[in-house]
Amino acid sequence: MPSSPGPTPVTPCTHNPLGVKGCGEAGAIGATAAVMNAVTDALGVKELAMPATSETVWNALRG
Amino acid sequence: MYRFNYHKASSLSEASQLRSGADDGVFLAGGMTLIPTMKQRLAAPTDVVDLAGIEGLNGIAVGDTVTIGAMTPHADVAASAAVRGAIPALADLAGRIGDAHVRNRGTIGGSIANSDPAADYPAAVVALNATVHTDRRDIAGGDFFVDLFETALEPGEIVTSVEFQIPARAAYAKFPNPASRYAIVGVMVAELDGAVRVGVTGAGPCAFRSAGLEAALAGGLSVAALDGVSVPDGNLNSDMHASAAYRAHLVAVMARRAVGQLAG
Repeated sequence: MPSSPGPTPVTPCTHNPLGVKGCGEAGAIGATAAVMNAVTDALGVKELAMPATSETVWNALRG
Repeated sequence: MYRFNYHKASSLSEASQLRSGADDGVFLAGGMTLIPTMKQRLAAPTDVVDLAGIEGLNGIAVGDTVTIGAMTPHADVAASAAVRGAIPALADLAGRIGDAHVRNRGTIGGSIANSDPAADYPAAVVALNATVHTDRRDIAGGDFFVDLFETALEPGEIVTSVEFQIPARAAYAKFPNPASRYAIVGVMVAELDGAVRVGVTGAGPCAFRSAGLEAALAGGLSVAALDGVSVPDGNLNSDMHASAAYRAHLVAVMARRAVGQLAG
């Protein structure tokens, strides 16, 4: 398919002062942070790299 | 997928001839590994010899032992009342291989002949002291798996059936990959002829018996006997799914779960 440059329509949202809109994963992405906060809280560690696989959690448990 | 010649053999001897007459021939059982590998162009055989038309390779016979024909799909083993009566752990293992599609197409012969380190059946083959029958000879289960995707089978040799000893009791515990259901680690613990045998799959290059776990359980099948028992990780696999150290940990955990099933 050839590239097809064209105008980018700008339609600011009227329901907030910034005019921004959520898109894609906006509604879901908060859950990731919430779960990781819960995992780090449960393990007593400050940081844990996602994804929190069983091995990642096991390693964190072992210190 | 590259072009290849398809043959449907009607007898073992015809299958052997078709394969030996090809430049680069392979046998097709259920195709659960071969076909995806060919589609990804990781394998490019010139000739595929389908074993599905050969009579006598599909079926289950339960007597003093449990014999499963090489072309028997996993779903049949899982659903067999005779298998479940004789070796419940084997029916349980078969019922947890892959997904329903794989269980309806995949076969025990294809599974063990491939010696995929993450396949389930190999754990039972070594733990239950199985005999692998081929078109040429009998191979002891303990001698069958040689290395990663490597078995004792000679080029062109065809598995015809797998004969399992019936244990006094046995259990299979598995830590599956959440997507594929392949065993990241699978452990079968069996009490056979008065001895405890522990078959491990998923963890190493191919299925093996764990001498350390067997020694720990020699005094009796109790979870407490495994307290503090660790498994060396020196020869275990390390890949994107799990490190060798984590696999070693999982072997011990799966052994505890299997023994726990027997105790409970």
